[in-house]
Amino acid sequence: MKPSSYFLLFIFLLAIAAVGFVFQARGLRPDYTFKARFLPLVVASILTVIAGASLFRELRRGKTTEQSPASETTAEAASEKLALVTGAWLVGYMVLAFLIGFLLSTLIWITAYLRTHNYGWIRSLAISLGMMIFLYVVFDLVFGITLYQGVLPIPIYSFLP
Amino acid sequence: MDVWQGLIHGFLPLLNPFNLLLLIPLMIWGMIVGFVPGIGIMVAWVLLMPFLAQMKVETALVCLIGCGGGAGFAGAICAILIGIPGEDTNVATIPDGYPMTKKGQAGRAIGAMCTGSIAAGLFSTLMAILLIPVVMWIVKFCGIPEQCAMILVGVSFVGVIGGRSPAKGLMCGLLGFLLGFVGYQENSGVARYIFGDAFLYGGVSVLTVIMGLWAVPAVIDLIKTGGIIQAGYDIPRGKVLWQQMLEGGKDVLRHWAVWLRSVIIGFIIGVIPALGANTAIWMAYGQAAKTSKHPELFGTGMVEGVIAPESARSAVWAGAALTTLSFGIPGSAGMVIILAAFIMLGITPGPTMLFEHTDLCFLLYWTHIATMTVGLIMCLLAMRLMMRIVSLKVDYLFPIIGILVTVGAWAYSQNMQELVVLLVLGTMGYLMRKFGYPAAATLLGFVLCKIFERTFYVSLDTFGPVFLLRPIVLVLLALVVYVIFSGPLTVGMRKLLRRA
Repeated sequence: MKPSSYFLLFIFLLAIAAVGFVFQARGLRPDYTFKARFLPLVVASILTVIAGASLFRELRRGKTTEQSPASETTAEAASEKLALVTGAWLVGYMVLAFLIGFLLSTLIWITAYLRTHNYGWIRSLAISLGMMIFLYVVFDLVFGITLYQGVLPIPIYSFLP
Repeated sequence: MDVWQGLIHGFLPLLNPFNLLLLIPLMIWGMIVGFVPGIGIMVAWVLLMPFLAQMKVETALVCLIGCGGGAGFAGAICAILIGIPGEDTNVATIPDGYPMTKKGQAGRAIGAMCTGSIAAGLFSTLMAILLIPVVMWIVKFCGIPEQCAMILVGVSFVGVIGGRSPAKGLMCGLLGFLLGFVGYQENSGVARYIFGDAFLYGGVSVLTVIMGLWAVPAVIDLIKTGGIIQAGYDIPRGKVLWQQMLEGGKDVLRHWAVWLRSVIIGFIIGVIPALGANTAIWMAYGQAAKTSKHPELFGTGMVEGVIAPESARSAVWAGAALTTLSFGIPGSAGMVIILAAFIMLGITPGPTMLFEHTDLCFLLYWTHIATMTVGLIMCLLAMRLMMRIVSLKVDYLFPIIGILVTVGAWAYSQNMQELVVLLVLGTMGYLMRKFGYPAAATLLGFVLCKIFERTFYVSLDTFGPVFLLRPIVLVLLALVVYVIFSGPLTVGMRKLLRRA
């Protein structure tokens, strides 16, 4: 199955899930009024039909299409691997921020990212410190939003004005 | 508030020193991002959203429009000097703009682009301002049922946003609707699709949707592109540059007919929902080539080939803004972002906006005029600096943008669960971009969902199902049917005729 077919399948299943959920909710919650369920049912049903038809057409078309040359497939795989690694970096930042807060995680994450891409310590630390200060000034001082400080107890945050 | 009061009150926020102080750095921000290929004005706006949410409405609108003011010029300068468009609406400038740079006429191309753009922007903005009273008169005949039908028209146009595949556009629009159903339903108070999580009771935030569908895929694509953007040919300096730019300005006067046709094309295309600037720039380029004495020379460095698309691109904004403000139907993908920003700021665009927020409508246009003028001057003065920006490595851009996206999404609700939603939507946004599904359609569906549901049930409660038989509603519903089914029907008829 072509990769784009998987995405279509995802939309198709999501739409079915949306329909199913509304039906189930109706059973579990008798006060799930007409107004609450009508439009989600209509929209999800239409989406199911369109997604199903598109999926069917794409699967049928996929059987008659020629395979791409090996070099194209390799390049695409490398590109997707890079996308996955980039996504992993972003997730890593979010997890780090959850644990130790945005400011410290910014300092550590940017430094780690630039160091793994062969930049020097001074440049990496300068950029990460600059970004950290930018976040603090803009969010804490200008907008008055105290940036999230993480679930782990970090004494450094108590020294911030 | 009447039109004259709105016209005057709409200008006043521009005289506020605080708004002016914010305007300049935001225009610089728009210019920088607009000049970096592959990022563009959409991401500049998206990254600005978390900050806008904390501001007063007038200040937020000035910042939003100001950011876009310089970006358009910056993207065009990038297209002319480097041969890479700052964003997709600058693509039609490359065939003739870049060859002009190669011939040592970069200044002339930029002068023609700047003069044509700013004149087009001013002219089209004045046209839109003059049309606002006319539109307000038309809108008086529109009640809640007509508003509901208009939203349906806007939603049906998502199929057009899908480009070659209306099915993709429709699917994305409906997906946006499903996203919009998450949270409590206004008319009944029932919470839908929250799976027992109180965080989702208020629904998915529009900011997270925008960040997830645009910013995350843009950041990932930036890394996939990698390296640095190439430098172009050397541009003239000092007196030579200014002389060339003056010559380019005179070219617009010489080719005033091309300019005027391009402005009209851009304005009309902008008014029609979902067609967008891409349609306008190529139509304008095509008419310039067709009406030229030397059409065979287009693509080799003809100055009309720069004037036409850039004038059309500049005129699209005013037309698209008119449709967005008047009917709540975005005229382009960029207007979808502006629509989302309105909703985030607590303003519901649509027919009532013209009457309840007349001053804000005019503020948008006044700000557009002001920022275009100032942005133009800033771009011209900072051209060499902007050339350096494109030599920035993506390894610097990625962490900065990635952090801004993450913190920005969190700042809206100050809840870490927002990041989980961001991840889910970011993954979806990346896959949508990869497989050619239009994110603008999803955002449009999401933004219009709650408004549509509210007007639908109010119409049903007030008039009963008979509201569907009101004359204007019937006309609009017929338009919806035509928009959705005309494409497949045309294709089907052609197949039948071929077989016959």
